[in-house]
Amino acid sequence: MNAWLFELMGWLGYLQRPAVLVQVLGVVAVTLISQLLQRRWLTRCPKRLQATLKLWLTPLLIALWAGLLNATAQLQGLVLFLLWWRCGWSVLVLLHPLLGRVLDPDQRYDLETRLLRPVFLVAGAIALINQLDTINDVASISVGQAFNVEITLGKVFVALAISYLVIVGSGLPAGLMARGLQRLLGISDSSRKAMELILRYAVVCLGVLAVAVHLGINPTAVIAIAGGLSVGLGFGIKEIFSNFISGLWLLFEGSVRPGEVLMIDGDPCEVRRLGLRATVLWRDRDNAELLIPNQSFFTQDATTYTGSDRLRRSQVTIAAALQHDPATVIQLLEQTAAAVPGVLATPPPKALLISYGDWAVNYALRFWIANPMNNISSCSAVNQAIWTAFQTHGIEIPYPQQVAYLARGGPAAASAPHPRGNDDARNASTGGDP
Amino acid sequence: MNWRRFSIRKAEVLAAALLLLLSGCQARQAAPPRGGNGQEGLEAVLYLYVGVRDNTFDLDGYRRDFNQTFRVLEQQFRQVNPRTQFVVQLYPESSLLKELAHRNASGLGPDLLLVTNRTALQLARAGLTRSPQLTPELRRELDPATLSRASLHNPRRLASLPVAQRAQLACFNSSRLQQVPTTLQELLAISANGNTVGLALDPPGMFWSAGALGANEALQLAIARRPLNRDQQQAVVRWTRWLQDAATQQKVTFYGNQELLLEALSSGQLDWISCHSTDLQRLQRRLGSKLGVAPLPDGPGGQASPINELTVIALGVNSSASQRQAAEAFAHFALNPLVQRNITVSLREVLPVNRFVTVPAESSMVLKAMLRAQQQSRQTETIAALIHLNDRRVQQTQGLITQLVFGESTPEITAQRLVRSLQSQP
Repeated sequence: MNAWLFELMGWLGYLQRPAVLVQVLGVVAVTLISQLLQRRWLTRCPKRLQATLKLWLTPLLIALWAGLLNATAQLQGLVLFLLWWRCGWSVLVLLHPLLGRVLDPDQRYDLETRLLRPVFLVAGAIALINQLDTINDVASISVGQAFNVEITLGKVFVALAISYLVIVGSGLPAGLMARGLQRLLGISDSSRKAMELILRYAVVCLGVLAVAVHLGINPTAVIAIAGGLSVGLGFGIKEIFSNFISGLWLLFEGSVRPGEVLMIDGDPCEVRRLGLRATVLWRDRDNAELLIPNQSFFTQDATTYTGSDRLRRSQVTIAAALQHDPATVIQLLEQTAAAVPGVLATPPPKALLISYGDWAVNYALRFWIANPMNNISSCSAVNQAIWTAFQTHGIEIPYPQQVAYLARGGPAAASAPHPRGNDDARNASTGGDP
Repeated sequence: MNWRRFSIRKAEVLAAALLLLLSGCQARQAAPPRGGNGQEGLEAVLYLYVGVRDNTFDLDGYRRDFNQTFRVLEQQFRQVNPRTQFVVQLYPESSLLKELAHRNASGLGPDLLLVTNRTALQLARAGLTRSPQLTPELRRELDPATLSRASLHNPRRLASLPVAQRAQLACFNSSRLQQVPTTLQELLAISANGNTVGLALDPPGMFWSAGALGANEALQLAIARRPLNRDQQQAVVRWTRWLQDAATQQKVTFYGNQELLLEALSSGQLDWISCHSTDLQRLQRRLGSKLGVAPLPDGPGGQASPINELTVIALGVNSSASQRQAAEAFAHFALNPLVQRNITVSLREVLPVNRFVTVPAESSMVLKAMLRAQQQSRQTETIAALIHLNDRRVQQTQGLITQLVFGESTPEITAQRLVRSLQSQP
């Protein structure tokens, strides 16, 4: 640590030199001037000019400062270096709309924030260190020992860089490889996603191993760490580890994979991501994302519509008036459902007479759909089609009816046989929901 | 308060504070050192660039060794100037020209360079270093020939200050060699007996055998563009013939550069190589007590003719006034007889350049071998100067010898071409 601090403090010694001081202070001053101009004057400019100046005003002022130093025969190499760095940043900002043309917003956000900008900043920092020192010398500074291996700054940096790049950058190659395997093997989309995740974990594991090899850590030491960790896992981070292992298990088992549809609290939800700790599901009803710990799928029952296939059997119930021939109604219902978009022809829709009600005959219409998440919208479409078909064919959807007889002469008379039949009968009806 | 205005104010205040702080630092360091009693001394951070060979084998080990060695010197200097700090950076010598041109343009160049004389002359010619001041006392302490080697001739000015001389020696694995070869015949004899021998193909690493075969004088004459008589031409042929004979030996291998030789000896592939005294520390770490050191073998034509390179201190052009003062003080300090003796005796890697320092040769076999190498090298001054000047004729020589070693050319034709090449316009 002392060596590192000594090296760092050593760089400040360059400020003893007037030529370096003038360059550094000049760049600081023009950057501040640029900020002031942007905040006080730029707001009055047209929007388009504002955007351009915001990007290029600081580089322009730095370039002017470099030009001034050059004209007065002063050293300006450091200013030029900072100018290149600042221009690079502006170019990176310019890439933003261009990337938007070829990538989804999420992909662009990930690419910019997780790869392009961090890489640019780190590369800039390394280039600056290389201006002040040599990378090899800085990299060889020792930061301590681990398992009898000397750990240097260079090793630490490379280890962190490999880990970061493996974690962040393994997504695309794993995805491409999984797509290739899907084409070869003909597996489903959810299997492909599972394979992608497994490949990614494998790449990360290889990356971790590469880091250990790079650091020169003895495999025996790694086994010792694993032994120690297993005790720690048993007590301290049991839940996290349990969730991680559950996630891997679910992937291999194939019951919970990205793209699967599960019933959670009575709602169909689509699995979006199977993370290290939790599974992210999407609920169509209210566009909510649910984070459910992986181990929950081990301890709780779950209903899936995508275990062996992605078909779902839906059902609507309907009542038709008593006078209509059930065979006609059943045939009409089946024909109607078959004509609704989204309802599968095979297996064919099936209508059933369920029961005789007080004022209607109750039917159930069962049909199959390909996307289990579309149950509600499919049922709605089928119900609408039935209403239209019943109207066209004169089939009544009856209101609930009840016939009440008024008795004369009290309960005894009411219980005695009526001499005149139903002459005085009066109909009364009560309304109800259809 | 408006946040934006507040942040601008804050930035302004911070910038002003930074300016004040830096100008304060500047004023402090610009102040002259207090008194002349040496208690406070010179206050400066000095950037020292150290040139290393390209593809240095075990660079981390070299860096560690150098830091340890240099810290000793630094501590001695800091006893006089306790407020002087050193930041050491290592660069391959071949890249120093480019690096310095780039860094000097930023004002981030070094204050001091510890390099071979050859590199220092190149840097001085390119205007990337400045001439050191030499007091008459110091001038008297240095050998005029040494000073001449460290000078540019047109216009005449000192390019750097020589601080040490490294010797070209023979390094071997003492556990494998029964007897150390003292002549070229013995060297080929041990290879015939199964010991592996490594020779360098680059001119500085190869010329030592020319003297042992009597070709040195002929080569010096050729360099001076004088005609050679028949005997002298035959001496050059004898040398090229020996080189080809050596190349045909099963156990003799030629290597492209010195670092490859060192690596091969360290890993046990070779039993005998030519080496430099500054390589001994690295070899010692790998071979331990098995490392043997001896003078290079003589031959039927005379003594071996090693080329002992000078290690010099050159001065950078970007230094502030205080850094310049401290850098000059350090360069002069390194020539101090006491410091020179300490370095020689404690490191046993370099020989002193101060004429008034006597080397206790009897105290160490290594020092004894180094002194012998110094004596042998007196006959190679002209070739050494050519090598230091990076003369294109030297590179042509390497090409001709490579063709000879790989059987592309006969010894006679090679000798003829070699002489013609050396006699050509530099």
